[in-house]
Amino acid sequence: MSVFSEETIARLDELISRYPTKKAALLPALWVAQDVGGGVLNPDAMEAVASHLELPPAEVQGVATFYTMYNKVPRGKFAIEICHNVPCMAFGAEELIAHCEHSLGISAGETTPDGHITLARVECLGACCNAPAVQIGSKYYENVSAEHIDALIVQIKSLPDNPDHTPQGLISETASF
Amino acid sequence: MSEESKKSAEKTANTQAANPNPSPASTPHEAGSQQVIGEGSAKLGNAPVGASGVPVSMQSPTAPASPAAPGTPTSATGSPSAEKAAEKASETPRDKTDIEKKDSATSEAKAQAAATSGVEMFTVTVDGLSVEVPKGTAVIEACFRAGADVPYFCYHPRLESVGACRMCVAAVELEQFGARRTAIMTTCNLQVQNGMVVKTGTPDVKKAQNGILEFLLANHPLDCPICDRGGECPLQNMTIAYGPPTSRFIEEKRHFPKAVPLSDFVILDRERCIQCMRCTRFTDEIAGDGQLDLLDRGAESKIAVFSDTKFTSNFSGNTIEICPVGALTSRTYRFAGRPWEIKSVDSICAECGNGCNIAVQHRMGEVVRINGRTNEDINEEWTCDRGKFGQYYINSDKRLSSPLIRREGRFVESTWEEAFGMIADRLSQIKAQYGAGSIAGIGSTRCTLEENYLLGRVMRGVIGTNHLDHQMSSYPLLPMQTTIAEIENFKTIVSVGMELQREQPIVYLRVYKAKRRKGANWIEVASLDSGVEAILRQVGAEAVLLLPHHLQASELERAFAFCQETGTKFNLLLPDANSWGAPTAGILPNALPGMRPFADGRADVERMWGVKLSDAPGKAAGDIFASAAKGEIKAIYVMGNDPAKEFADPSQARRGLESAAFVVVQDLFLSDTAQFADVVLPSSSFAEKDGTFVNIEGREQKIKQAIAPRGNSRPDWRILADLMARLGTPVPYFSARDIYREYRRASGA
Repeated sequence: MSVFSEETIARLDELISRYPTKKAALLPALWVAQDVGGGVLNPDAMEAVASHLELPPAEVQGVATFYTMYNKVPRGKFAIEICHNVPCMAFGAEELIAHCEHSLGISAGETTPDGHITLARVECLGACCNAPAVQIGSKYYENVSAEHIDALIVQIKSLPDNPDHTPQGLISETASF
Repeated sequence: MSEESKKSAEKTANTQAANPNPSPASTPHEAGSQQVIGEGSAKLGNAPVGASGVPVSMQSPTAPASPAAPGTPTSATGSPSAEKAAEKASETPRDKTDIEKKDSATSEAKAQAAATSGVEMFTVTVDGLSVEVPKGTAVIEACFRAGADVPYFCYHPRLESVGACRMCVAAVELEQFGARRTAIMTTCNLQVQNGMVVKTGTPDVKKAQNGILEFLLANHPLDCPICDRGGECPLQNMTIAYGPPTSRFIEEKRHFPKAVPLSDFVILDRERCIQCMRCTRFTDEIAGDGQLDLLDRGAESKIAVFSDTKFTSNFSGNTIEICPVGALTSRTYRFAGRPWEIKSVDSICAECGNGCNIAVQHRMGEVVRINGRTNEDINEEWTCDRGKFGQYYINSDKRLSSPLIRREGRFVESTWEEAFGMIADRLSQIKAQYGAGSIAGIGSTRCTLEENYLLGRVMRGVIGTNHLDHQMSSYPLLPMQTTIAEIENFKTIVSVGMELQREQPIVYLRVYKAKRRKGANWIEVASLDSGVEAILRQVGAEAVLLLPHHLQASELERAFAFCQETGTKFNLLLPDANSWGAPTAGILPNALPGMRPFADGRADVERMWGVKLSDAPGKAAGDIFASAAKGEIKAIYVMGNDPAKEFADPSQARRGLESAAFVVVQDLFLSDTAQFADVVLPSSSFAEKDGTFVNIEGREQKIKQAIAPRGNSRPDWRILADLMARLGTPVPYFSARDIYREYRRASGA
């Protein structure tokens, strides 16, 4: 019935035990599902989480699709996430995205053919004061210009692998994954 | 400016231009703003359904007695003439109508109950009128109670408020952080505070509402001419009443898929959706399956089902009715007509025994859709999909349109005269030759009470046989011990051996409501043997047991006895629209109308019918078919039933029908049973006749004729009345009501 192994189910149960209701464990449960799914959260995994937490699958999908941190499609080793909400847009986020698209040769939402870099538009990163904001892994870059991002891309390309490819590393409670 | 948005802007402007001097009566908002605060005048009667359910009492500073009583419909709209009229009305208070008396009595009783049960009452002033409402009431409900008009899209009295549409704003003066301040706030998700002052019509509020609507319409496609919702669309209505005259948005509108089928019944137009989340809250809170949810984020948000699944909920049709725009529409009603061309007739659903109140809506003689009607005691305002989408058989081309007579093994169309002549001749002949006991009648749990009563009269009073039955499988007739509405008050609800969602949909909604809103424990078990007795022994009188009719009769009797012992309420849920009407009409081998035994009702019935009833014991359906197979019963008269398919042992019914010398079937279609008939009479559907259905609770409700009978068909009662005349007992029945009156007297009422 479930696509999860017994070990994964044990991890989910441990998470559920931390909260008053099963529903409350949804976000960390999705992290686990994404983790065991190799960094991707597909509908099967969402359904399995739903059945384990006794929630309607649509609700789980609603939550998973709300957060850009859950990857519904496979991503590269690095994800350049550029905020495109109002303040960032006013400070040139769209131009920045266009610049990256041009220099990486992919459209926003796509991954380079070598599977190294994914370019993504994201919703507000909460760094409006220093717009435009960009997030790569768990690091924030603010007041980003085209020159900055070019330098970052060069730097990323030289790295073989990303040590913390999801922001979950930031959350102490879920750091034990 | 893009071509499209230019057009839409012009269109909005034209809407206003067409009515340069809007009279206050036609623009409720302006009327509201003209109201003099503190005068104690208020518009009343606009409160939505749920608001009447709010326990409140009202105080009107200047006119405490009459016209400002809750629920009093007045035309006081704020215009000078209307105000005069209102004044006049206050000088000579008219008597309240019965409904108004009932309404104010209910709200007083509820307020008193709230007061005695320790619920704090808060006084809120809305547009100068103070109302007293219990703590915890939403401000919007207090506004409705005071007769103020607050526009809304996402608010729904039966759903939890989320404040998604932002339309219900008002200027609210409240105590916050030790100071009194006024703010423009959404009133649906704000609870009342004592001494709160709410103003619904200030220029600030009007400006805010204007702005909200401008945003809501920024990307709304305004394809009203081809939208099924057009003409009955809250978004259209609110735009006329509260909207801006034009839009400042000149950009191209967003484009999304426009006809996404969510299921066989529901279709989604993503461009029209305003993300009010009524449908998602409905599936979550009312239907309990949560099949719809808001996926994605921000500008990409969309209503959808999970992944590639379908919207299979048995209650999906309700989302169409509560959608405040044309985003969710019906696939069966798609482009079937404009709302203003449609006539609506109040009726009762014929699909199951719950007895939902529905509106049969028809256009040019065709039923185009079924909508729910509010009845707080039964379906609140919901319907199931079987009731909503399962009634299109009425328009089917396969329906019988004229009587059929079997000649040399084949059915030949005939006239009613010919068919009646043949039935009367053959029945008289069989009666003369083999006695009245060689004729049997099968009634129907889907025909009306009147029709079943008349079948009983034809069989017992005219022919003189007691072989009458309606049950296709034998079950005891044990009345429900609670009403449908009372089920939601039990702490433990045990349902046995049925899929409640499909078999008893409206009972299911109550059960889910009890579970969701009142914390009841709903236990579903497969059979009575799965530990039901242990559970009931524990909870006893705080529990209600829900049972389907298809359990063994012995099991049901055992459960009944056990419930008597523990004090648990025993609810046997019968399957069909008139499962109670057929037996109470007297379609039982051993009972007369009103389910009276012969000893009790005989004198009444014999006097009324002017005949002597037969003393021979009647046979139940199984015995009728067995006797027919043995050749003892020669003729079987079947009204609106299909024993060849639905009898507990269909082969036994088939053998009986095959052996009987003469079989008459009244039905809508050429059913399996009709294949055995010598004469088939086309009857009318529930939408084509008047009558009474008795629901699972034993509640009598009237169905009303919406459209003319299809083809040459006739209501079953009309057929039986004509046949009675042919059999030598003419009774001038002009309407189902005549028969109902006779039934009441015959049942000793």
